Amino acid sequence: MIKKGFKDATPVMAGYFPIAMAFGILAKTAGVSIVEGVMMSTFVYAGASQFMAVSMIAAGISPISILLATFLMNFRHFIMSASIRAKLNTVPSKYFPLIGFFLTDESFSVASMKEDIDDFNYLISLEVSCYISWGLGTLFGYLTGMFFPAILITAMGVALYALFVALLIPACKKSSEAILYASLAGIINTFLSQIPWISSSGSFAITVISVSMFAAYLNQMKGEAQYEQ
Amino acid sequence: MSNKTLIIGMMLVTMLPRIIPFYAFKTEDLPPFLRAFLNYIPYTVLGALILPGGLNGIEGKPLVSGICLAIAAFIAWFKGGIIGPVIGAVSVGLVMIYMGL
Repeated sequence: MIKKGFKDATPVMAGYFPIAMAFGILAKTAGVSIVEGVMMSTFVYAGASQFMAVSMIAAGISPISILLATFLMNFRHFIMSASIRAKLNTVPSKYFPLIGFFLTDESFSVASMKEDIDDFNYLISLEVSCYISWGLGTLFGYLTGMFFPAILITAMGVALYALFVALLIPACKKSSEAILYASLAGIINTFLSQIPWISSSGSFAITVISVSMFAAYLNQMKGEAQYEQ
Repeated sequence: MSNKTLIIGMMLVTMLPRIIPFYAFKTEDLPPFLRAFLNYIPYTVLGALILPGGLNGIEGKPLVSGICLAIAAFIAWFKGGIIGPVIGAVSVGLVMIYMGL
């Protein structure tokens, strides 16, 4: 299962590395020390909010504002952790902090699209592989500066989104519900993101919660209709 | 506040929302409605991760990004796998940027 976790992580690792490199480069140019830059990636481990925090540090914004922004940006993981939790029956609860700490949008997406994830070794090897790539990428970026040609870095920006698409398609082939609710979420999130006073993390959370509620509601109605027949 | 203290603080505020839900309930105690709700989360999360963010995957180029994602979807649909669609999308993106699109 450890091997399988690593194997499933490879596309995420490939996608993380150049982004983490870009983060390392940004940290360096923003005057953040190498230790602090790597600490960000290994202690905080929160993608976009690391970029934001480093820019905010460089701009001299107060730490309290940075903490608040970081919290708001990552609160969405709350929903993902709950969803993973609902699929675990045999994993001992002492492992939950580890599974939670290493959870990201990407490791969540990869794990969620698998049939059986009720296995600590699988989950942790998947998650930690992604984590190592992120940490090493940061260090590498900080030390080397720009290494890949800029055009490749730009094109790699689409990699993780392509990963999400590739994860979603097999589910869509199997169930019309997947294609329906994923599209609905995409459309609503696009719409909400246009509203200036809703942040992107806010619109994400509203979208995911409301569309999933709607789906569960329809599911229940369907169940009751069948029961009545 | 030093940067290191700030980083520890950031660690706490990102870590807690990721860990607390694991202790919030027992799977077998969940009412069917909530269980269904949580089971739909992965689909809605993927949908909301892909749109609209994916259209800015290649920064400032929604059309190029959209074509890359369509290529990924095409390969995933007809050939399956993860690496293939990702490499396909990135390569097509590379070519289109190179051509100045």
